[in-house]
Amino acid sequence: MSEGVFRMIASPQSATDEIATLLANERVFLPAMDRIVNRYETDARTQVARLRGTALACTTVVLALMTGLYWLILRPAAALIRTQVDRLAAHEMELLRSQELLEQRVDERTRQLFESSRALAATAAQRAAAEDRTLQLQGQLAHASRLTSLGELATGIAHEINQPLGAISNYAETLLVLNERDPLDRSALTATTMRIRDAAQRAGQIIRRMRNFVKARPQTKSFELVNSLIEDVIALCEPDLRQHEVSATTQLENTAGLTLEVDALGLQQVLVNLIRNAVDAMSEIPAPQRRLLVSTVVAGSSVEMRVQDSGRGFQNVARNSVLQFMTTKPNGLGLGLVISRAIVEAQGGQLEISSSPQGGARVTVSLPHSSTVEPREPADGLCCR
Amino acid sequence: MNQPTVFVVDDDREFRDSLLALLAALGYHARGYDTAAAFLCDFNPQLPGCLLLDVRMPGQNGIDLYGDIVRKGQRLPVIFITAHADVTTAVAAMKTGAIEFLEKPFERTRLSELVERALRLDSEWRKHDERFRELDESINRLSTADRETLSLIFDGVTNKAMAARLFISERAVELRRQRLMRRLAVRSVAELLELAITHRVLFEVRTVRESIA
Repeated sequence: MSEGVFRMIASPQSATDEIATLLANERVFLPAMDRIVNRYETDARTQVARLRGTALACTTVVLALMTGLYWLILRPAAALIRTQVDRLAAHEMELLRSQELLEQRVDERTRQLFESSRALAATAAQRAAAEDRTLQLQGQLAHASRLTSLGELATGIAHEINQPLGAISNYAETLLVLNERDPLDRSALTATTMRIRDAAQRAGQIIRRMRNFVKARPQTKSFELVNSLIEDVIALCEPDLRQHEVSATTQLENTAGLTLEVDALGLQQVLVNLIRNAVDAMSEIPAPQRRLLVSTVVAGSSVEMRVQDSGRGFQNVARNSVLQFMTTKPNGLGLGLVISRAIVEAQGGQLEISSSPQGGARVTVSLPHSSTVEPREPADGLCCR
Repeated sequence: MNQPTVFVVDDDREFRDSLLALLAALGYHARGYDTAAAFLCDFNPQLPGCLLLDVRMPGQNGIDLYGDIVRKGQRLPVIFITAHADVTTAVAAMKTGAIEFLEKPFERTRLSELVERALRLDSEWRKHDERFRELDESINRLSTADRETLSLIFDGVTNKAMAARLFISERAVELRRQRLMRRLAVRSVAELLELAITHRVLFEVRTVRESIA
């Protein structure tokens, strides 16, 4: 059968012949064809089934594999990864928070620093202001002390001025009486009038001394004039000295040609303070033993001015503590020596305390001198200005 | 009789001289001293006068000086001169019995007013002292009997009671009284009593003064 088909196919006749042949042969071929086809179909089916089975098996295997993969690997891996991711996220959160915290702290610190720098600036400004104020107060204190000394002397001075005033009054009354006499006693009138004039002069001197004490005039003075300044001060203190029965002596060396740069007023104030201290120091010893000595002497490149008393001296007292705010006087402020020293040092001098050979107190003020030759007249005029 | 002296004690020479000049011009006899001690040296209680003292002086001040004089049993009127009269000084001065304060500067009329007053007081005091001395002498010269009589009269005893007490007659008492009055140079009992009282008072004043001293 097959050969016939093949011959047919192999040797082409006309198409229609062919087809007729074919159709004639079909019945023969058909069952075989059927059988082949069926065979092929069955094969195919079997194959398909096999394939299907295989496919299924494969699929199942694959599915199983995949499931296995999933369950055993993918999932834990995912979990792992998630954990890691979570951890990372947490860390990132922490980092962010830390960063925030850090920034906060930095901010705060910056603010603190800023504020302390501002405070420092304020303190510095305050300190500068306080120093200014201290200087100002020191000036005021010196002035007040000057006035206090003056106030304390004023009582003595008032008394001193009252004497010539009283005398003038008495002489004036005398003149009135003499004037009523008939005949007039001319010589008595003249004598009385002259006495009035003398008393007025004396009062004028007291006033002048006091005014010099109050005015502030720093200037250059010659050594002689410093000596006369000292004598002026002693005269100023005379009522006080007399009242306390203190005998005062001066030993003023007089080297011509020396000049000193002094604050005359300050020096007077220092002297008054030292003298009054001396008077106070001697108030507890009997009157005949009260001796005050004021001396000046040239010692090398400075002039030393010394105030010495015959009192008990600086006995149980450390030297430097006396120069702080200390006093043994019941009504004293203890400022005298401190201020005196300040005044002396402001003129380039020094104030030292020591004891005299007899045990009394001795205060030495030394001031530098320059050996120029020109002594200048002081600017103070005569009395009654 | 001595002319009274104004004693001026002031340590300020100029003021003292001016005061002496003024007092002289006013017609007073005056002497000056510069310290209380100097005055006390010279002080003679027999000399009449008064004291012009400066309150504030070195050494002994015016008030202490006056206290001293009083303590010595002497008396001299004092005028204190002061620059300003503060209360403490015034009180202290009054306690010692000063007469007056004179605040300087003062006018001559005020000065002479006070000096006059002081000198008048001084002469009165002297008269009192003199009278006392006379009285004292007279009374001391009385006999015991006279003293008895005086004492009884002083107590206001009647003649009758006196007679009874002394065991003498009333006439005798009368005689006693007369003798007493003659001895004491009084003319009436009133005068007699006045005399006795004055003596008593002066005596007591003197006793008190001495007890203070």
